[in-house]
Amino acid sequence: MKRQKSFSTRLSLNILFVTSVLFLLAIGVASLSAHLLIADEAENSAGHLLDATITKIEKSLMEIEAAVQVTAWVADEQKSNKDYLYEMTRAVVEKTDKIQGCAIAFAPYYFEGEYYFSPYSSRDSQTGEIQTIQLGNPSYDYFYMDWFQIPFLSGNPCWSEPYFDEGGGRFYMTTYSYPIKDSEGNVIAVVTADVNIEWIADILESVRPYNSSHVSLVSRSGAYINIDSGSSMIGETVYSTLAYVDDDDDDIDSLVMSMMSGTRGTRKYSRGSNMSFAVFGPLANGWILSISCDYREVLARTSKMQIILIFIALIGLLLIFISCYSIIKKLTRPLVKFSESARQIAKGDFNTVLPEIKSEDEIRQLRDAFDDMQHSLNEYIENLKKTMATNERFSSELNVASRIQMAMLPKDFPKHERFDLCALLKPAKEVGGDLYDFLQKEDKLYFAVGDVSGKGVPASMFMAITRAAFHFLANMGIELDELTGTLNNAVCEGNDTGMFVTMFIGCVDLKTGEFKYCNAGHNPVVVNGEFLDVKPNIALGLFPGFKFQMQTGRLESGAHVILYTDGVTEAERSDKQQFGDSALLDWAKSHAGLATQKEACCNLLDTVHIFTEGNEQNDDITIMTLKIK
Amino acid sequence: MDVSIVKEGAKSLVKLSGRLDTTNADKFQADITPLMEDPNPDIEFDCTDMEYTSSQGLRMFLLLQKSVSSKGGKMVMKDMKPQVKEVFEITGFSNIIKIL
Repeated sequence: MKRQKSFSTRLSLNILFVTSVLFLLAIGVASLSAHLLIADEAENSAGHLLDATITKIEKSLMEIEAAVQVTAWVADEQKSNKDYLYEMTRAVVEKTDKIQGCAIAFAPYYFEGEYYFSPYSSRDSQTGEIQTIQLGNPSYDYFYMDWFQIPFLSGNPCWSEPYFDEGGGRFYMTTYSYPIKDSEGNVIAVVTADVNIEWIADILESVRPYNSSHVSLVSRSGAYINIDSGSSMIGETVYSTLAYVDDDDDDIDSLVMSMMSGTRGTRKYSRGSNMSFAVFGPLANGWILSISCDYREVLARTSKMQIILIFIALIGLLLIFISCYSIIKKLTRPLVKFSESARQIAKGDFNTVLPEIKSEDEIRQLRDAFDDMQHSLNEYIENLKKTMATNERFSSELNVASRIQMAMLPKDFPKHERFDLCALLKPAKEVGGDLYDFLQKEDKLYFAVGDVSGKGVPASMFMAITRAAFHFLANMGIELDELTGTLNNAVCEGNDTGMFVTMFIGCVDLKTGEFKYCNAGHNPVVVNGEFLDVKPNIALGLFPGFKFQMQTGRLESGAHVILYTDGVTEAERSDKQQFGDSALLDWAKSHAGLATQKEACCNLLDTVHIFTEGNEQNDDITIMTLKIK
Repeated sequence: MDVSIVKEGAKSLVKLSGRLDTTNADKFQADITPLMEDPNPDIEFDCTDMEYTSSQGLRMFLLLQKSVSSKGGKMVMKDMKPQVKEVFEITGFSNIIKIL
């Protein structure tokens, strides 16, 4: 059999289970709200970072724009002084670290006879020395360069697409071009500043909010601005990188689209199974800055928090389990003691002392109930013992009564040439008080059958007295009426319980066949198949001094006499039908010729038993038959 | 044996029905205790529905009769069925108890 865990263990485990579920729920809710809060917070702070970074870059760009605009304004004033123009370009490069080169490129033939005129100063990236040259020549026809052509044609300043300066400083560059217009609005020259934009990459590198964050600045057309020189990203645009991404990734497509639309925004997107978000916004010059953050990293802090929470929860659960277990163990300790007590009681020790309970709780109630049960059991057992003892006594009394009854009766029937006599007594379950007796004195045969009212030992005693008295009196050879009267007086003496005995007493003279009989309230005997006419007189033991009337008759050779008690005629079937007088007479008529009287007695008893069909016998059955030979 | 006792003035009318045998003799004895304890008994048994009595039952009637006689009271049994009456007659109880 599977061994059950103890009550305290099971209860503790149940509590542990429920608390675990609650803890998990709490942790789940806390984590979820923490996630939402932190994600929100991360998006906000990324937005602030974006704005701050945009402002920072714009400020640097504006310094460059301002420097170029001032140069343009001065150059317009001093355009007749070519040397000064050269000096100016040099001064711009000298004064501004971020500007690697500066040109003032005039339109073709602005100066008479000079197709190209473009003073240009640039810083040598190795030595830091500044060289000043005239840029335009047939091999560098700057009129067709973007930096010249776009502001020349549009009349507006512009930032060029980033490019890699192959010839000069080998820097990743962009160029700011600013047109100088005459009074009619025609562009006469373009002032440019070549800006090494690797510092932007440095700025952006410093603003990365998370290690995995991507910060990228792209030009209006999507070209990456913040990349190191020599990077493979040179020349790539956001559009071209889209090609690397899975075609089906609509998320990223739409992110790029909304980013490039030039509006400020925040967008969540997924890349594979990773969720990320990006904040993006345009700079004044149309460039677009974006910061993307992987939620995994954003939420890494909450994961750490989760681990701490789970750890705390585990410790809490362990504490709960230990405390529950010890409390329940303590509470249920009396139960263990109770079970020991119960076992003791079960072994029969009803005075087992129950454990003391000081608390006023259910355990106490249990103890009190247990106590009651113990007392009831004790009482019950006491009663049972008494009853058993009574029963024991009763049953032994019955045995005694039965033994007295049977011991009193003669068992040996004499073989005689003149008569055959046999008798039997079949006692009922509860001993009645039937008796029979016979005595041969010289030629006279005395015989009697009686029935004592009542049962048990008193009836047996009464029967014993009666039988002894009869035997004694018969032996004296007195007349039957006197015998019966004396017998009556004897049993009346000291009989105040109202016991009485009915009795038929007969005496046959074996020589003459004279038959004398005296009936004391007993059933009439059957002689040769007919009831003998008897005077009832009165049962013995009722009235002392009663005068019994004796009757006389004759029993010739072959006469058959049946004596019996009411156990025979009143033998009942289960339907209360009694054996009755007529059945007795019928039997007497048909069985007179049986060889021995022993046989006759047994046959009559069998006949009665057959009649009662096994119904329980409720009175003694006594049969005596006598045949005169 | 069912015993119902109705007091009619000083007289006790006792209706007996069923069988009186060894098995219910003790109960019968308890049933007739009020009659035994009556200081001035005048008892009339209605035996119309009495089916049978054993010798044990006879003894009860005898005891009651003795008690009644000692107090100078009266006791009579009426309307007995023949087979019951026969028992009273055979045993000679009809000499002791008044049977109508």
